[in-house]
Amino acid sequence: MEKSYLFAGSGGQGVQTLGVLVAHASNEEGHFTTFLPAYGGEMRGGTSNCTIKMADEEIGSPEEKLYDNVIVLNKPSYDRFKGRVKKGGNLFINTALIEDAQADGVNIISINLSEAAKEAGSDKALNIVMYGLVLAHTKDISLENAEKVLNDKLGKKEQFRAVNKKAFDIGVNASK
Amino acid sequence: MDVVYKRSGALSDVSTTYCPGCSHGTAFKLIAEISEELDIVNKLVFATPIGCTTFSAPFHKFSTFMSAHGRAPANATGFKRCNPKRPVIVYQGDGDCAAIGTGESIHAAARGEAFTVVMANNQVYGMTGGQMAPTTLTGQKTTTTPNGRSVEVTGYPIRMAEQIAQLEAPRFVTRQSLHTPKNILQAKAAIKKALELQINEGAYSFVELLCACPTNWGIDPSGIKEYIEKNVIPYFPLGDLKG
Amino acid sequence: MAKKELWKGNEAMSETALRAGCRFFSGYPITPQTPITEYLAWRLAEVDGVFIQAESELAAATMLLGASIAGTRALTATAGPGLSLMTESLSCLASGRLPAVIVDVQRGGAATGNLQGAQSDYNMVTKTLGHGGLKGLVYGPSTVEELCDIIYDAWDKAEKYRTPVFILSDASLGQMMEPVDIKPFKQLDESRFDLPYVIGREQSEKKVIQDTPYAGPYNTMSENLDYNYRKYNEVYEKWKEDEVLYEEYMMDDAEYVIIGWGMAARISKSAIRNLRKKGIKVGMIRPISLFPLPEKPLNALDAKKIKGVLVVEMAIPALFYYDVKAQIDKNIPIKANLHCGGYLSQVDEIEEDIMKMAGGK
Repeated sequence: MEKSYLFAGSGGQGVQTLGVLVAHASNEEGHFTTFLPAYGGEMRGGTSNCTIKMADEEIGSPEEKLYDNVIVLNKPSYDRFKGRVKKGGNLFINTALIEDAQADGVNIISINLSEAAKEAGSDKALNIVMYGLVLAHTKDISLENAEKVLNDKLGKKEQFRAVNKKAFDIGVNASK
Repeated sequence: MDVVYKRSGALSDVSTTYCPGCSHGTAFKLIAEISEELDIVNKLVFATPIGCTTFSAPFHKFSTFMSAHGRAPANATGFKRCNPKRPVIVYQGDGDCAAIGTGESIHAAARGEAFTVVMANNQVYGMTGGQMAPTTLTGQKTTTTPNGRSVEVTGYPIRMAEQIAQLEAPRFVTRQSLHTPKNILQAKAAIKKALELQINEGAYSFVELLCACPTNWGIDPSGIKEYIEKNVIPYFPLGDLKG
Repeated sequence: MAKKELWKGNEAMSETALRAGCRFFSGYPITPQTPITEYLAWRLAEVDGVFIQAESELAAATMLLGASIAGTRALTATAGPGLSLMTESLSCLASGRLPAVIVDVQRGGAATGNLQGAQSDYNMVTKTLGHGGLKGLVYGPSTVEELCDIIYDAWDKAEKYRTPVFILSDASLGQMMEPVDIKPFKQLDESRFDLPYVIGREQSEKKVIQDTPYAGPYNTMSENLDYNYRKYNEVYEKWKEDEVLYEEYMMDDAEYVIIGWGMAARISKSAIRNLRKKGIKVGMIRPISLFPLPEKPLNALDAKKIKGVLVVEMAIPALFYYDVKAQIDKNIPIKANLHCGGYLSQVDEIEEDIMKMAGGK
């Protein structure tokens, strides 16, 4: 097993946090894991992005030409990375900012993150909605481990824990 | 019979190799006497620069470490932070302290590192044979200012003690001279005060010493006193600048 | 065994350095090294260590000498132009035979360059540390865990041989998160303050620590330097026997061999797995110690068995490639796959190069 993920969005959308959460969940699951952020000058451009690989053997390259899963949270990220999905792979899009997404030979999984985050109780929780959706859809990580990591990493304050749990559940349910 | 004067026991039983009239030997003698008076001969650490004092270790009994040109204050920072109980003298020439090592000098002073810098200001690069230093006087002939230092081409000499005195952390900043017995005694009192501040209060201090280099000045050693009074002190006035 | 924790390379390395006994860090912020400086700023304070944000890399590296002379395990880290500034002190450390550890989180390009990973500082530290032609141990890890393994033992080696130890990380390894076991704290012996290059805690008999070894059995400086550096060279030669580190990967039946180090090597592993699935018998020799270079496994490649060697390196012009080429049987075809300036090695291009060597497509 070797799976690759590319996450992209604008700086304020919490895309690095999303990637780090998935990486920790992968480690929790017992996978070999790499998380490689785009850093430095690239971080100050239109998009912030990071790549994750998880595997049952030692990981070679931490990045890929094409990914099993590409998750884009805004339009510039969609434009830049929509062509980086493997044939038969998944393209997760935020329909609040990306309209009329099209990609051949690729599964498009759509969610309006603005609405979902509002429903969860915080505009900032959009990355947690996507976290739930992605992991529930790909099944590379058990939802139990995904939720444990969410609590371990972001659950120190009671009020955030409740919002995050709701956002996570909305994401998970959206995959059904 | 009363002993009224003797060679300091902190000096080695060898002669220095410095030129006739050179002030380094006098400066070492003062540091040696002070180290005995403060009972720190086995504690004092001498950080040497690049210049005529690079090879000074055989002349005294202090533990010594060498540094690259200009870097002694940085080297001493690393040492003293890890070894705070050892008093440290960073002995530098003017080229070392105020040209190639300006950054290290200013920042060690700004941090208030717990050591004492003694800067020998003789207005030339002595070891390399008399080139222009950051302290070379206007009009002074050196091998790299053969027609005399011109301010249009090379700017003005740097008064390092004044630069250091502007900083907050240094506790004691002074300029002294070694050209008369009276000045030598005053210089000794200043170095002793600086070391005591270091040992007792962990303070940074800076002692600039006007030194003679008759070889590279092209004068007879007998003319040093007149040369310093007439040419050097007017630009580099003596006295305490801070503390 | 406890589950490994996910750490960023720079931070895992910093924590491991501390646990290896490092109690002094001086550094100057430069991307992508800055997280090391930031981490140790708070972490060293927790263990009564010394942290100094220096005024320049020139000063930062010089401070290592003083800390080392005080008997403290000392570290600095830098990248790109900072390494150029540090070379003066590297020369002094090597010449004074003062133990210290230096990490270069390599970034792309010469001059200011960019902030992405590269391997183009290879020659600068494996050939000689600064001016004067002396050496230090140099390592090129390829995973966060290996980076930690190397720094954990770095001061033990530095003190054993009285040498600077240099670690070539890079921007991608420094920023990347991977699972690691963070190691336990090492307990250091007080006898370290009596070491010959250490000026002790309270007071001591006179010790003279020279960054150039003028002392020796002869009357002239040149005779003594010749004598002392000859002895240094004996130590370097001994490293070729005792301190060589490398990994052989899928080499048992290999007909094609990829040779690379650090990030380029781990990227090549992906290519090797893909090629194996296509039936191409390809393996890898991955030097971990870059000085000493593992010469023996390279010399041992048999022209009757090996049909081609591909050196994968993130440097243009090639640097490591020529060191490999000098060790390989002249009858084995050798090619280089190069990228630079923050452009990481690419799996598909490596596969393509091997396929071309194998005469297929």
